[in-house]
Amino acid sequence: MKRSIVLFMVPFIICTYIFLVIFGKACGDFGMDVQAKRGIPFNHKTHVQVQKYDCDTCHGYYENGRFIGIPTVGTCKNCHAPNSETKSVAMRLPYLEMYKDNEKAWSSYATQPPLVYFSHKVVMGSKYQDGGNKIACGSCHGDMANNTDGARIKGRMGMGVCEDCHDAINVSNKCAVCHD
Amino acid sequence: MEHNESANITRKAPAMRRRWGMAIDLDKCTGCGNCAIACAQENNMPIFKDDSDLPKRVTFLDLMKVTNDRDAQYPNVHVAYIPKMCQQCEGNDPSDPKPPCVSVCPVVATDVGDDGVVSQVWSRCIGCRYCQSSCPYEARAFNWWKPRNEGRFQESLNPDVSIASRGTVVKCTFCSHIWKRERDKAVANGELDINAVLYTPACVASCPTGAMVFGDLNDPNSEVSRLSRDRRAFRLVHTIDEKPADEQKRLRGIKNYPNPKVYYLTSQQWIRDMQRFR
Repeated sequence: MKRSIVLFMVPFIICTYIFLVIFGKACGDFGMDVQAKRGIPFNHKTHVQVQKYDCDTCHGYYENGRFIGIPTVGTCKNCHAPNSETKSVAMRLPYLEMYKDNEKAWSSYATQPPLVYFSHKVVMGSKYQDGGNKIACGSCHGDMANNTDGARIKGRMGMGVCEDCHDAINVSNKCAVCHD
Repeated sequence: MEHNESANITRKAPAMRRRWGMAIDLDKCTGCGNCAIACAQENNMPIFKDDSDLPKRVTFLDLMKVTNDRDAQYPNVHVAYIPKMCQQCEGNDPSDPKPPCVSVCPVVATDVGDDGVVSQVWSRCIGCRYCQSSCPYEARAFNWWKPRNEGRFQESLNPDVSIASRGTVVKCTFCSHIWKRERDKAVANGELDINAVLYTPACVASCPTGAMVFGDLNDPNSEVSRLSRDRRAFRLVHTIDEKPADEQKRLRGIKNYPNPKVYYLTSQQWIRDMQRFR
């Protein structure tokens, strides 16, 4: 091989690799990563299907109807307490000590900017005439009950997803319904 | 009797029957300015170094001081304070609202909600300021600068209201975020009917003399509905109200009037005279 080609290609490949690594990290905010930001490999399948917890147990509501959202590590420690009297393995997970609540928040596909007023309580409480729920958690968040590693839907939930659903269940699609 | 289109409309939005309106008794208003402060705090109004620069100031609620005549001598001097916010116009036909600002917006950033409140979505606004010039009441404000919240002021902001960016038009929406919050509370208490939820905007809640009344104009028993039919009631710069009924009907046929939903009450004739262009 010509010496000039080697002199060009080796720095080029190294620089391109470093460039891609840096920008791959930087693009994490835009939903290109599969893993949730917090880094705890949370297993939804165990909690929901084996232990039979409802979604409300962790993703519940405050008394005034506000959605708690994604729980803090402190919520995990309520059950996974290191000094718990229950001597099962799951109750003594030591690695939760490594995580603090002031770290970067969990990211979610359905996270909306602050100009959207979305009320989980109102949407989840809407019912058909016969009493059936109009919407389930999975309608926006995907099949989290079978999720084993905290992987999430790629991309970002746009306004069209909300509008399609509002159209389908005969809810008003006026701007002021969600935006103020 | 009912044609298909109106039947469609009632099927699409069956839930909302409210039509929010406001009545302000200028005889009771003392001009304390609580409403303006409460509005600014509730809606995260930006604070600028020079707030006396009126065209560039951002406020939803202006407390206007008006006098009968600047040349009036002592016994004849009258002063009144008029709190002026977005009048939530609905055009000639309430079932098909056409406020002057909505019909000119090129990007549907402003629209009339099911409850009759004219919404303004700043993220959709492109800042052409067409609505601002079409508004007969100068109720809209343009964000000339990015709001700067110095020091710990950031922590005192209302988390329900997003902070509009530079280059967008903002306006009063009758504190519709409070209605959404109240709706959340009602649903949490098991009340699923959207029409059962009432709320009070920040300006009305802060009024110490009870001069401002907020409520549902569609409900004939509500206080605001009673006050809107009062003999003292008038609307800002809306002289068509003083004309006889058949003349009103003729005029509405040839021109779209703003038809605001904010009613002012006064017993003084000079305030009514002031509403007429001379």
